[in-house]
Amino acid sequence: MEYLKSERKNIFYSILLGLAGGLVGVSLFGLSGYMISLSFFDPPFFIIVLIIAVIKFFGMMKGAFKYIERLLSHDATFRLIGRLRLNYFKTAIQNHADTHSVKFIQRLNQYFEEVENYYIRIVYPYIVALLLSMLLILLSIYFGAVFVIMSTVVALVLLYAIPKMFEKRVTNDLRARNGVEDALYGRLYHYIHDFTDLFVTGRTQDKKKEISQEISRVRATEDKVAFSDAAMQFIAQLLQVAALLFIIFWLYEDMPLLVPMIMLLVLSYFDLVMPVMQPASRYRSVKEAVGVLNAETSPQPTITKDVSLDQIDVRLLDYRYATASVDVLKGITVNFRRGEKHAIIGSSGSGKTTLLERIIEGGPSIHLIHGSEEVSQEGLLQNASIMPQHLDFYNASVIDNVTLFGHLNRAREEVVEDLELMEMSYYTPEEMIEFTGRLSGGEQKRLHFIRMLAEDKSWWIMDEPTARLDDRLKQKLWDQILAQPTVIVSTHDLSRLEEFDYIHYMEQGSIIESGGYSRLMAEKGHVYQAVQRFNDYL
Amino acid sequence: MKLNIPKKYILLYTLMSMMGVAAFVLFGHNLSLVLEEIVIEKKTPAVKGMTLAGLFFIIYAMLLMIYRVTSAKIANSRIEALTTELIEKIGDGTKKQSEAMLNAVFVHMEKYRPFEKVFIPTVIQTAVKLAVIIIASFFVHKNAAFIMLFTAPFVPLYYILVGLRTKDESEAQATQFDELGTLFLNLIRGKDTVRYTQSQQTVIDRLRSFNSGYVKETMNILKYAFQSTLMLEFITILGIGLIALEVGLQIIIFDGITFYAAFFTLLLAPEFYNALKVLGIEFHNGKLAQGHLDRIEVLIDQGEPTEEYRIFNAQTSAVTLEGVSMGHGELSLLENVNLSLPKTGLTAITGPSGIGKSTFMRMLLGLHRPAEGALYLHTDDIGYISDEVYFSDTSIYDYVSDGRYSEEDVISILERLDLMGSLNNLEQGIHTEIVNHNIPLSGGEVVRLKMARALIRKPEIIIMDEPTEFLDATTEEMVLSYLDEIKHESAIIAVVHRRKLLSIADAHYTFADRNIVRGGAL
Repeated sequence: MEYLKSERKNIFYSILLGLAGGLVGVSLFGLSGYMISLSFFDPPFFIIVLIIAVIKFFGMMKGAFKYIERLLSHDATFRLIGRLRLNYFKTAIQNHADTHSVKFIQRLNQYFEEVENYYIRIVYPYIVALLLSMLLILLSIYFGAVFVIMSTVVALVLLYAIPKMFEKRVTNDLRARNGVEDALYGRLYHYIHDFTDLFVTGRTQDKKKEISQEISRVRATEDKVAFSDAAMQFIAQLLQVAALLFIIFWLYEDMPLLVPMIMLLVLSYFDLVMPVMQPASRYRSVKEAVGVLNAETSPQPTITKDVSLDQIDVRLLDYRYATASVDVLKGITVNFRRGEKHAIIGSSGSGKTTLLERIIEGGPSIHLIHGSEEVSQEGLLQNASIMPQHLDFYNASVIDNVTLFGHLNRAREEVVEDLELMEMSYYTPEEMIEFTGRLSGGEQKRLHFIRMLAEDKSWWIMDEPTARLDDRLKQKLWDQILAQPTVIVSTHDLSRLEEFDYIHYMEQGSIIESGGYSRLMAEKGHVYQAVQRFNDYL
Repeated sequence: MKLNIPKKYILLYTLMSMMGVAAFVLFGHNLSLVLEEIVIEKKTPAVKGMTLAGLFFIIYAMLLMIYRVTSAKIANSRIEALTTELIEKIGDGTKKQSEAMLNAVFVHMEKYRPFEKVFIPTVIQTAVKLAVIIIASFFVHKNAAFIMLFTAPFVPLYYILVGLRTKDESEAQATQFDELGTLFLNLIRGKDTVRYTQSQQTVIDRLRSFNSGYVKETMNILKYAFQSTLMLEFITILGIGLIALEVGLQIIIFDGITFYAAFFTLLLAPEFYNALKVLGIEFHNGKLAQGHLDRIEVLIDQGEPTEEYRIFNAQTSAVTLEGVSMGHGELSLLENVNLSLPKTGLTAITGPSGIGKSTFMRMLLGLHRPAEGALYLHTDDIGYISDEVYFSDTSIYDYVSDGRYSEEDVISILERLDLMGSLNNLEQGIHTEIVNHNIPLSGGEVVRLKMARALIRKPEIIIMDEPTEFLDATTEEMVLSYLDEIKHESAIIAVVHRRKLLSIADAHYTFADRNIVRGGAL
């Protein structure tokens, strides 16, 4: 709620308007009920006309109140969500969690939608319904203590007992649903990526059966939740009919004229309050989502002034993923100096990508050196352009993607030239790209490469720059990469290996061979064998 | 808007709604009678009337609940069927667009669900309600029915005059603000690049201005939407007011109406106008949900059929091609090829890249239908050793056995390929979990592991893409000698990239001139 501070006024007014609208709506019905009772007892004609006029006026007012209330409450909520997003982004950018999975993004999106619901569908309507109930309880004093008790009980049951009764059930169902969805996501991801093998060995049917079971489970939880929602309404309606019959029974002798009025009043009160129950039963699960997003923002690190980076010194680096049982990097010691070109080779899974990631993220074993001083991790980012394993693009124009929304200075003409160089002239800088789909793997490599050209930094750290490109483009890219002053590249493509100053051969998380091209070739070790194999291709 | 569900459901929904609304009307009827008794005749309400009113209301509430549960169940199973249909379309090409597929299953499907679960049942229910109430009103108080008939067209009229324009506008804005919404999400997703390029501040500023734009845009759309609701509200008030006025006049001046009819009419009129309002609001929601269905259907239409085209009755050879032509659309890779490969022995296949070798392999595997001709195979017991490796979030044992082989079988094949030595060095041995594709084995060992996975089944036909991983000399020798041994019992068909493997080949074919020919220049 602390996020609401600056929207207080909006929220205050929208609750007030909501309440006024509700009251007017309820009294509108009451009044028309009273009108018919009255009419049969020959009142002066103008009273009836007056009542009808008031009814119409109330109706208009109710509409107008509702209109303004909705505008105010939505405006406040969207502002709030905007700020929540911004804060979330500021926090996210500083933690190093991997955010590349579709599932993570989908869950995050779901959380934000839940926050929207939290305010628009839970908080405001609930407060309005609560205030309205309190006013009606006050009103019922006129009809005696029994009515006060009855209306209090009705309000308590509708606003508290029923939602509370279903809250646990619904929360558990929704939680179970999230669990099933996560499992389904995992299965589906494996199925898609392992499809060829599964198909060949005739196991697609089995896997599909497993996936169908998960999908059925999702359906089952959906059915359960739908049942809870319908049951809540049903119970409330039972209460409604009990209240209606009770009123007739209790009042027909003393004030029969008022019965139709109260009858319509109760019908309309229930219509107003019943829709609040379902969102209220979600309160706990939505609260959890809000908690996830409300995480504290850590302070922005102060940007240190630019220093040039002279060397990256990695000393005895070990690394293990949080969930893994074995080290992926073991005692890595390697030194990269300004002006040198390094290639890291080795089979997939040998730790090349992890090594580059560690260098970028920093840590106690990674020393960044300017002159004889050690500089902070910022120093690396100030000096190096990076091509990571996962390339990132945004729903924006090509040029916004290249310059990161104008952060990098790159003229439109230069971008056009770069696109031409990379044989991507079919894109204009203004063309919108989508982060999913459209771009092929090779296009992503090339577009990120154009981004690196725009960055214009002296160190280039790249993970598999030429993968998924055809031979001609590979060579074009190598020409550009090797023209850079300082390069650290991990690659499977050995076609230009001899142009590197140093080659490091990795296996099982260790660098097992290191040195210049000619020396390693003469030693006839791992690099030699790899080059032999590479050259043996038909 | 099309209610794209089978007619039987529309019929079922209509019938159920009719029963529910009828129960509500009967409740109103009995309640009005009871009230007439107590207000006009000053009598004690009859137990029978009270009971009937209560009973019909309970029946109405029960039918409503059954309607909600049934329609949700139908919708959920239709969504389940649609998801299953989507998953049927997953093929070996899907990994290239796995994100689009996962998005369709987890995002678009969930955004489409309310269309079937809420929109369709609500629309049918309200339509029925409108009809039943008008009919009932004719019996209760004709004039009210005429007023309803007269005012109802103002709602569609309003939509035609004002609503349609705003609808288009708000839809255009809705798609745009969908993009603004996802910009935030893909900035979160792509935060590493923002950090690496140190563009945090620029991006945050951009996001902030997007956000205020977002609020403005959203409020604009909502203003239209709320205005429509306000107009509907006014029409409603006008209608109810007219009916109330007419009822009032009838009572006082003309004395032409009973209390029963007056109360009943005033009970039904709001129900009628509320139903009209609901129709107007749902129309907008429905339109948005259909955009998501379109995204899903694109993927369903794209999917390749994976029906079996191979014929498994080749007697004398492992593989026989009769007049096979193969290609991708316009591009022809093979034309009218006849070929027969023996049941045992290693057949090497070579040719420059892009000439169709891997498409040929995929054709043998049942993943690429030939344009013409017939493909006969000796058996469907095929092992495939691909050059790619998908290896994540699984243990080594699960990877090799895939739940089909015992630990002894797995250890025996791993021993045969000399892998147990290194695996025993791991804390958890063959039960070591692989995380993030980081395999605690050397490249050569990974290649052997892949072979173990394919060969544990002892397939009669082995199709392989020669590993391009970095292999050490030991692995190289071991792989060659192992292949040399099993080729006496199986047919090995290998796309060969290097000369070394050719040395143990029994036959060598090469791709040339859209044909597969014996021999080939080496």
